[in-house]
Amino acid sequence: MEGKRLDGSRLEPKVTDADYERRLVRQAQSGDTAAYEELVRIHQPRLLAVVGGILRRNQDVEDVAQQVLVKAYVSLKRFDLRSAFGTWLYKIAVNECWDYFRKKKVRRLVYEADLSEEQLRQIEVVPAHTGGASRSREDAASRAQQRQLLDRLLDELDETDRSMLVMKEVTGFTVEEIGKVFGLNVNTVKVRLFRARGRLVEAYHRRLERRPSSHSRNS
Amino acid sequence: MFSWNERGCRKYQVRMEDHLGAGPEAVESDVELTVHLRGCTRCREAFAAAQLSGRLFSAEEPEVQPSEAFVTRVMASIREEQARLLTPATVWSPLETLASRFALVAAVALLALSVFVGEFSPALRQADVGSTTEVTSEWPEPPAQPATQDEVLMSLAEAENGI
Repeated sequence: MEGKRLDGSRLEPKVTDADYERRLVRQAQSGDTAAYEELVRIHQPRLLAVVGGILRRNQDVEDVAQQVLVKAYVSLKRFDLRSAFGTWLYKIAVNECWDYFRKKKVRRLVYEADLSEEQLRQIEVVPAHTGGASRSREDAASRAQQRQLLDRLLDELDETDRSMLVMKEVTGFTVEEIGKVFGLNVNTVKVRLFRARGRLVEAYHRRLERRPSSHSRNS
Repeated sequence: MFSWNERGCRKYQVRMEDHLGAGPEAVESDVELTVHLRGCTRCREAFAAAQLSGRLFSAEEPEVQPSEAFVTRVMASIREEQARLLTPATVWSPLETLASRFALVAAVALLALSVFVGEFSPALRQADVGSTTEVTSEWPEPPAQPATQDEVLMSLAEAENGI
């Protein structure tokens, strides 16, 4: 179950032997750029997913991911191979994303009323697993709106909660992997994830309560 | 709403996180958790909220566009970075910075020194006073002014005759 998103799907990293990866890292450390290129190829899907998940479809996703890979290459000699290369890389990626937000100050403001109450309520009745090719165009539109809502809700969480939730739910990291990236033990990660989910839903309910229509209906 | 900071139900939070998305059967198979959920309203609400969070993420699809072009771009920028780190300009640039700072500091120091010397140096002031005295003593005494009208007329006549 761990490593899966709640809807059951999972973004699988490219299967790679740990020893092979370690060998590539050693070769890259001794200046073999072809070895590093192979590491880039192995980690690019997950790296883009992590950066994309945290930056939320920002146009700079590829630039930030590229910056992460260049930074990793420059400091590769200092990487002591005690952790997996991926863990180290994703740690750099999470920090780089937050640096990006701090530099650009682009965290979105929370707006009150961009989805209708009906749209907000629909989310509660949507089954968790709605994947498949049968999704209609209306589905696509409503999914886009749902993603927009999630963007705003995630903006209300702190950096770590937001990054952890995205890594678990969007990118399919296991709690063990998340623990390694953030330097936390597995149970702490689970508790933090569980509480972060609660905060996310609290933010969602606050949005529902703030709607003028629900106020007038209650009064 | 429930508070998320209480520590009493921490061990159940770990187990609820484990059971998320696993269906009601999985939760029921965890007898201890089921009993706890029956008795603890907070955890029951929290579990329901956590399940709803899964639905909030249900529209999420990792927007991964892995491409060879991205790899090429990354490698090109790494080569650029390597070149930048290896160029002599980079080697000398700290020295250049240091030199320009030195020049600035020297200029400021020179300015301050010249102001000090010009305005506040007591030795220079004494020298000025002394030199004025010497210059004055080297000048010849001015000719005595004519005392009477006759003397004035005489001096004018002398001047006319070119004496």
